[in-house]
Amino acid sequence: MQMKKAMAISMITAAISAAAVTPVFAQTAADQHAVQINRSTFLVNANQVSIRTIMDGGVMLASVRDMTNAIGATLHINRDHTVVVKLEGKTLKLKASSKTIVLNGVSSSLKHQAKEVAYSTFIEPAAFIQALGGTYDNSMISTVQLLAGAEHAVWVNSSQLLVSNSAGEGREDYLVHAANGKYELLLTSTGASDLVLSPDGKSVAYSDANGAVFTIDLSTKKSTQISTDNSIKNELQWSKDGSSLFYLQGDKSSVIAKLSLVDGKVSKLLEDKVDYKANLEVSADGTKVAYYVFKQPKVTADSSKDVELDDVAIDATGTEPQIFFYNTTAADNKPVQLTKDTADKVFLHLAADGSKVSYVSVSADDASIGQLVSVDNAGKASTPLFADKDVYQLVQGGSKLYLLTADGSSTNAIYEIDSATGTSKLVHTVSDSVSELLVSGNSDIAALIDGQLAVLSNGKWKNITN
Amino acid sequence: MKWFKQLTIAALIAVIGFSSVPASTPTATAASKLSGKIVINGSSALLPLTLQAANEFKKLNPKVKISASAAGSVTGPQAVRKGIANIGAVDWDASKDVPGFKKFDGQVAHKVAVIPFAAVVNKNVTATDLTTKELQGIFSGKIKNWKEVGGKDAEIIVVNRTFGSGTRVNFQDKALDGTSFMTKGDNYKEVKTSGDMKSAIETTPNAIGYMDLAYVTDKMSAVKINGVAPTEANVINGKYKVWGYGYYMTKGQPTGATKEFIKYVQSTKFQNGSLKKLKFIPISAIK
Repeated sequence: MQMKKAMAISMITAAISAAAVTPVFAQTAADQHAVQINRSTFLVNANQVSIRTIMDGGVMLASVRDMTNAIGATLHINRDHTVVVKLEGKTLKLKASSKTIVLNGVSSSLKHQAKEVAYSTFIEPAAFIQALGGTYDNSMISTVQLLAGAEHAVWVNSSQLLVSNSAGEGREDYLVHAANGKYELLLTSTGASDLVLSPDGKSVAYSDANGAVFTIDLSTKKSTQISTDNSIKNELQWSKDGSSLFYLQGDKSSVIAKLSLVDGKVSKLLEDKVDYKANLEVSADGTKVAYYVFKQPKVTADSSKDVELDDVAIDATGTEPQIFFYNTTAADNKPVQLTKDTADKVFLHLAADGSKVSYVSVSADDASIGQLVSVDNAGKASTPLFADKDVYQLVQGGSKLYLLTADGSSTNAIYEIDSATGTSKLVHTVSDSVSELLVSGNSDIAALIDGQLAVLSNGKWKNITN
Repeated sequence: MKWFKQLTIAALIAVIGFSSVPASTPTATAASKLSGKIVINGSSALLPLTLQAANEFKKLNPKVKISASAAGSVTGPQAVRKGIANIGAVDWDASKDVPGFKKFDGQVAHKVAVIPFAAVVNKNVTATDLTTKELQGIFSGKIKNWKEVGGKDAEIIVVNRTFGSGTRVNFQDKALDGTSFMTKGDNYKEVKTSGDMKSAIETTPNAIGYMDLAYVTDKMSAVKINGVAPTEANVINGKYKVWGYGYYMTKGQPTGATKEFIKYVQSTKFQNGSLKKLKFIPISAIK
């Protein structure tokens, strides 16, 4: 692995040395020799960044301003032409035509003097980055230790995401800053459910392998055990007011239950003896629920016959997933079946007022084309909301819905859907390597791309994990 | 994968030059483009695990249709051999001969879970710590009354799984040391699935049966065997012997959506997350 990594790095280096794109010949006041300014791509905190470089006496120097921008530092030029760069408590001063740099008042020497070309100062990138506390290795700049990978993520608020990664025999959950990828460990667990964010974004809840439920205050990191009930709990959902958690109970997810965060009391909302419910959604007032039911095909097999005869038949007729709706105030254990068609279905969103559900309907044919469909809570009015492109994913962000769809040959598209009017708006296009779209309550967008978490910032994707 | 990603970036840079490097990361086949249909049949013990995995997998791969059913382990590799299922879920390695069943030629076994099995009794039964010899006596029909094993004076109702059940194969092999079951009698009944077993034990006073640990509810009692409780910890530390691997059988090596689904079930994320939550044990826990 090390050899291959080294090979990859050396290829980047080779590419840098070979690249001489958009040459600019400039003459400085200090040096009347023509100098060619190149544009080179560096990998800065996991993102490709174009930085101006020059070759001076066989040594590559990089633009101080470009590097400063790339690492999120600030730059100021004094009247005496001293360049002052500040990054997290470090103040670095340097001057063109000088081998001296001053870090927080302490001087040190450069191997190669800084140079001014076309009113820009160039410096050895390794010395510059290392002085600011970062690392530099063959055109790879790192000033922030980024989290390695991201298997699952969710927005906490516009500035933070919750990121989960497998680790050893369990999982680690981190809070990651959207702006720079800085992270802090929140929870190390094994057998725990995904962390579920509270509506106010201040807490998360999860159940452990024993069925016990915990909450964590995100500001204090304090964990509180809510319940010792050991039943299996699937798909925890917060109530809008944050006072209780809804979930599917049991190994067959047959019961819809509610756990009070106030007194730990569990109450059963629906116990209709129908197994394998999934994708539980709860209305804002906590009285209406929607969910899928996965029915199993009928298997006919005669155990008295010789095994070698393979006397087994599977009849999958009528076992497509169907959506059900239940008003818990009715308390009659009689949910309403909203769909009956043969399309496959995935993702589910119940409107805040419980009036309708939206889902992705995937055609039953081999083409498996996905479209966004809405159906009212009586199951009478089914409306295609978006069928312009093949829909891959449905995500809620605030009061709007977002879709990840097919687009060009190598891109996917992100659409914003106004579920009230059905109007759609193209938000952005993205590489078709996206595996998961994430949208915050404020419509901030992030995506998991090739196992890295990237946020959409000023129209560009920026990786915040490695 | 990191080195590969860097290599790809480097190669991209070398080819197109630095000034025109796009902002996107290297292209790869997106999970959303995976399509196909996966039919899974077999073990009822593994069904909750399979359906949970299917639900999670479909969110990542919405174009993959998954159908899962259960009618006993042996029907899994049978359905695969017959060509009506892509995956046969079974509680033993069906690519090898086991007592009662010949191997299924050409099928490949993929370990997906460790399944602890428990002897279970109705809540009214007070004898909840039995030796192997006592279990052999009860399930062979030689011990007929709970008072013979330290319980109340009441006739024992034996509930057995039908032939072809993987839970039955494992329980007979590991809890009864291979001794035979009784096959008939007034106080004997057979059930087809784990769900049927659960119902029977919960509702039949003086009943004894067996099931995978995940199915045990607070409406029944799990029996200690030779003084050892059926717990995840006791399986992992080697004290509790009545467990087996759950397998997905495929005809040859799997491809396409089937291959990716099996990889998902075997992934660290699923094994240490949802699988444990459903009270199965990750395959990596057994050293």
